[in-house]
Amino acid sequence: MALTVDQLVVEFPAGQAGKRRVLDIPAATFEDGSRLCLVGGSGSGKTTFLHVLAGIIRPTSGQVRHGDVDLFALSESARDRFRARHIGYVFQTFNLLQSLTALENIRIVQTLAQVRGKEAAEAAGRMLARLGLSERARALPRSLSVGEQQRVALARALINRPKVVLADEPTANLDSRLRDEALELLMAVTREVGSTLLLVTHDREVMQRFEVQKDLAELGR
Amino acid sequence: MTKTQLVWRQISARPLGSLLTIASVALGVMLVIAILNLRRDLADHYDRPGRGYSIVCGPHGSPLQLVLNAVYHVDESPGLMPYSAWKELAANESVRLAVPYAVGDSFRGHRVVATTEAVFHPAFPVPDSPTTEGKFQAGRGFVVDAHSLEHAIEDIKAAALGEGSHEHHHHENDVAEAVLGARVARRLRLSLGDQIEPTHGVEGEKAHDHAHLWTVVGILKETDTPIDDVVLINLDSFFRIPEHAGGLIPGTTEVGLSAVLVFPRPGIHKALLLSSLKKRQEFSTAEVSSEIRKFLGIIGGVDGAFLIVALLVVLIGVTSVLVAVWNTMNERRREIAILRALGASRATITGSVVAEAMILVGLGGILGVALAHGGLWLAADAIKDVAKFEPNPLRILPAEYAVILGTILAGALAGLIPAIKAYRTDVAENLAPVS
Repeated sequence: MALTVDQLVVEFPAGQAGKRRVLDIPAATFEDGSRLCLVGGSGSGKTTFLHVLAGIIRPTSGQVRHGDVDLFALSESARDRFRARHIGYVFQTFNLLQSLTALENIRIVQTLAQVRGKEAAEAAGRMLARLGLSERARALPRSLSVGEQQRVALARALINRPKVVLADEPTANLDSRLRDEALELLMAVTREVGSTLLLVTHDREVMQRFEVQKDLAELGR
Repeated sequence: MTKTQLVWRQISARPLGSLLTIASVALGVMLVIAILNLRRDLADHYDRPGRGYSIVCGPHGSPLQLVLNAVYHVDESPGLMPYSAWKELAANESVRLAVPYAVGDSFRGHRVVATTEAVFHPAFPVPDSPTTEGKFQAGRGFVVDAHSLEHAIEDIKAAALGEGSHEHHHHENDVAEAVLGARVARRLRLSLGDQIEPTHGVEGEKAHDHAHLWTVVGILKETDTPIDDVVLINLDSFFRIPEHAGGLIPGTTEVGLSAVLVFPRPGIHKALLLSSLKKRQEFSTAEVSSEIRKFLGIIGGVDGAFLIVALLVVLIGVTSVLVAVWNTMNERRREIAILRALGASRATITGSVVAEAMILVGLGGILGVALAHGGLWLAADAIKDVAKFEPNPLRILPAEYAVILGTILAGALAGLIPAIKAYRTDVAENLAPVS
């Protein structure tokens, strides 16, 4: 499922009746199973771009297509369902739900994607085991180490075997050892699942792990 | 992991806040349920037992007091009416049954009513039975000996006129027999053949000067009406007690009775009787059903006010749910944004907030019902002492389901306000890393 953007423009209100253009991407295509590192300075619109690709922010104009699906032609609720089923999102600050255990943080995205039953529970258990978290399944996020939290966040993003994984500075808060560990896991698991991976970062060490690196400002130009 | 589990996690993540919110709803619901039960118990106590009674004649005063005293055995008798009026009523063509009552004594906290065998007539409403024998769980009724009664009355009159001593002239048919209400027999563990000694005064403050013993000859079937708490004795034996020899209507030489319960013949006779009896100067007449309706109307007005106050307490409880959930919205904006980013729809988020409010209110409602019934069970004896009726803590009224459903609905409405806030949560803005 190739991911394509066409004539994508995002503008935010700025001052009195003014607008600030945050994104302007004529065209870009991310092939199925590809992995790309997007770089850019602070305020360059990296996070906004990922939000648009995930359908969280509606662009001012332009199209985002996941395969044959025009994301913003869908109703909002259909777009939410599409996101739950086909897009995995890894946040910079993990963004685990604090009232849920590690296992429940993973199971909730299965629920939202309407993946239920015994098989779903077993898949969540396998994913936790794959990331070395079986013993911590019932732990709340506050009792997990930073590395464990990052692994739960990865497991949550990948449990529904999404076609696209969007990672927004996923190693920004990690030390070098945890960063390397997290990146290796992200690469390995997305490869196993066959997901397209788009990762944004301004960390040179992270960039070097990717064969394809692109500056957001030059994307599609 | 279901959406319900997610909502439950939100509630249990704030245990103290959630408990306090549940408690505030429970308090209001408890008051409403308790008041609903008590007003039902009150209505049952005064409505059902009053059925079957028709007319009460008695001394001048409040007709309601007359009915409460004669039918419900509440409060002291308001005075005396002429004994001769009973005889006249009993002979009236429109009267099927006239039952005289003379009160003033008690036995271990239970009212003693002196009367005649008319009280065991099938037309007397309690215990309900087509035969006299069917009214008894054990033994039999007493029969007033007409000669003995007339002798006793003559003795009282003679003593009043100074023509004789206070001593009773014994008659060969003098008997002193008692029939017990079912609860009296059960509570005091009395059985046939036992002898009892009533004391003077309703509260039993003073023993009779001379020991007078009555033999228990019968125990009535349980009716769950005030007659269960009464000791019946034969009227002639009552008038033979020297203390009762002064039972004359003040300013007359007429022996007095506390009341006469009149049961008219079917058809127009009740109207005819009421019309003629209300013209009588020497006693007053009360229609039982009319007085009970008036009484329940007065009580209904008072407990209606209490009910409104209790409903306001429920409203405050539901509002506290609104405030509690609303207050968590700020700290939950990020959580809501995460869920939305993970694929939760606005409807899912809105529904979970409304469900949270409904669960909090629902738990409060269920706890309130349990507390109300538990409280009624614990306070049953105290209520019986104070209000003279016994609550039924095991009965669930249909209105209670309506209260719970109404409260949950109110909770849903209260949850809508924070849910709208959750609905409007800006996902991108609230996903920004916290510095």
